[in-house]
Amino acid sequence: MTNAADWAPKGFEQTLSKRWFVSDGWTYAGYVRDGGYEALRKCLGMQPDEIIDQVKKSNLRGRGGAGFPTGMKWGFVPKESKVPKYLVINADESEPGTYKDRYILSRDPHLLLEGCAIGAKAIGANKIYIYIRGEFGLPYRRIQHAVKEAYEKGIFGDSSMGSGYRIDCVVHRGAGAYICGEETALLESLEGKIGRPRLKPPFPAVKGAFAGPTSVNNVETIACVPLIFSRGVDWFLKQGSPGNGGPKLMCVSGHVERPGIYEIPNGYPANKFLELCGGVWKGRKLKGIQPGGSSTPVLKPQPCKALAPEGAPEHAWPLETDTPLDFDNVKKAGSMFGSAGMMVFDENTCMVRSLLTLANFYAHESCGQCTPCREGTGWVAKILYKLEHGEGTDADIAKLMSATDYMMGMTICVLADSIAMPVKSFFDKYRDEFMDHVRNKKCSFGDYAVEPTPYNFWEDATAERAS
Amino acid sequence: MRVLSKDTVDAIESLKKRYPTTLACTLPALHLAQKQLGFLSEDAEHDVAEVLDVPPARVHEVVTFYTMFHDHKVGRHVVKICRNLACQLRGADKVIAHAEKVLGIKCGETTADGRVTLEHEECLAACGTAPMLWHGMPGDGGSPGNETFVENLTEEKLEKFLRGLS
Ligand SMILES: Cc1cc2nc3c(=O)[nH]c(=O)nc-3n(C[C@H](O)[C@H](O)[C@H](O)COP(=O)(O)O)c2cc1C
Ligand code: SF4
Ligand code: FES
Repeated sequence: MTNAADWAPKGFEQTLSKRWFVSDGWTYAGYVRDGGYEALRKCLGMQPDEIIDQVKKSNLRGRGGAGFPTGMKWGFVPKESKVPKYLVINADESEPGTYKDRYILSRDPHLLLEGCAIGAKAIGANKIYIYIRGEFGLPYRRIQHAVKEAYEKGIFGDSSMGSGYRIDCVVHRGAGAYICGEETALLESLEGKIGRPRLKPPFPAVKGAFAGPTSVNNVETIACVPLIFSRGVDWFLKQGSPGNGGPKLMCVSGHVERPGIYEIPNGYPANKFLELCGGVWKGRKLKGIQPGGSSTPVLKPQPCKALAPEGAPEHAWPLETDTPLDFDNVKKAGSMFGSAGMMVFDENTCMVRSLLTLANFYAHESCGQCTPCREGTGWVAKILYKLEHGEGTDADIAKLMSATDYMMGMTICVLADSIAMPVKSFFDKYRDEFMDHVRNKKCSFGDYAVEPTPYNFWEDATAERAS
Repeated sequence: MRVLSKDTVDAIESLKKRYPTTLACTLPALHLAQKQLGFLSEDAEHDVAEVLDVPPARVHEVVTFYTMFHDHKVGRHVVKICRNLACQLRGADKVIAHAEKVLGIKCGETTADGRVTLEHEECLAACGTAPMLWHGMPGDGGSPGNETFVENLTEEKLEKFLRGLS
């Protein structure tokens, strides 16, 4: 049977995920019993500036992908506004490899709502929209239920916890489109339109939902906020690494013995993290990891100078895959921490085939309004298909590289970069494999299809009930 | 109204107070309409546009953009199997092939008896419990959001699930 502590490093206190294993953890009664809504009570008695100031000091950075400091983002929302301001929660979770928000929504929805209410007060918004991915069933039902309870208990409504501050909250369902996770596409979708990213500026903080100043924040980001006020800024800083405050939910998938969600301190080393996951499955060797989700460059177990102390001799350099897991270090290692959806590849994995799967996805999800993205994602997918099926040539490889150059930094949103960067990194680091496909006119990994191999831990725990 | 029932129209009406514009009700309204009708015909789009007082072209555009909305009749059950990378690394290719074999159709098709439509899906945020599928019943008249995931699939578990759909 399950034990919550298996999902964190020894001795590290879980706070974001600890209530996931409590059977009534998702109810108002359970939340309040565990000390919930006391942070909100505190914040409702504070000035908005003080709240923002504390969040800035906590070094909380956005968990949705970009790692932007949350306090600073809130600070950009103008104090005075003639039109209503909004807090919009990005619960569209759809970056391949990432699945943490879904658990917060279904297992600890009141933690999110408490963070929402604090955020609304901080930016001076009276309305919160939670934009939830359309395909989510149980997470939607749970967050809906939690919102209803929060209204009944006076968390939401005309006077939040009797403070006189009005907070309304609406849960809005998407309808299936990856691009709606991009914050301005999400706002378009919220307004009832097709999800096409907007040209920036104006940024959402100035002109967001329904043309009002808006902060868009990820679910996990907002779920961290109550902790800052219940445990204190110092505690929050200690849970992380310099510049990266707080605990972090790591989603791990692919070829490890124990995939699942782990709660770690920001800055926890990736090699130790892989040990925590039981290591690479079947006793095989590690080929690489995408540390932050499908759009992040791949890291290979090879020496990395950027991670080594100044002047260290080459034999003492850590491996790329030893990187401390936080925004700054993963960047140094040559990738991005993104949304912490780590995918692990064992030595038997064909990297061309894996990249093809991702390329097909991005080609499918491009909204089509920028030519470099619409055409480029299609080209990349087509060339990788040829390579994987033994029809690729040297000229195709050159085309692949020039296609990615043409896609980077040229588009309205970063979806185009999100596949161009992995392509570049896969090719740089596993060049031999690509060339082998060309030389031998086939994929040497043979039949790729692995046996369906679930890891049943979550199901044995509460997943069927709470997935 | 051409096809929407009074209940559905009332439910859509009650959405309006949640948003500053009626256009913003488009997605939730279409979810409600699809739950009643099973798919979104031109008549359904017309009715939704009328209740929301927005141009039918806006509604049509939305129906075609989002993958959860069906513009033609689909099976009583819709089963979507994730084919994205994390699931593939744990055996999704075989799961998909097995589903096609059990149902005797390819992804994108519906069984002759109208029971099941099978589709590919992209990552559904269940990569840690891969391989996995999504199951919904578009025209069941139930509440939008009553859909489920089935995770940790093996061929046996998948087959049992598919055969159990009535
Ligand atoms: C193509 C694309 C998809 C994205 N998908 C998501 C998503 O599913 N969830 C999310 O929180 N952020 C997503 N983002 C990031 C958002 O645009 C935005 O940065 C984030 O919601 C901000 O919240 P944060 O500051 O709390 O991280 C995506 C960005 C891009 C470019
Ligand atoms: S980069 Fe791609 S997804 Fe983003 S706006 Fe342009 S076409 Fe659309
Ligand atoms: S890749 Fe299948 S659920 Fe994420």
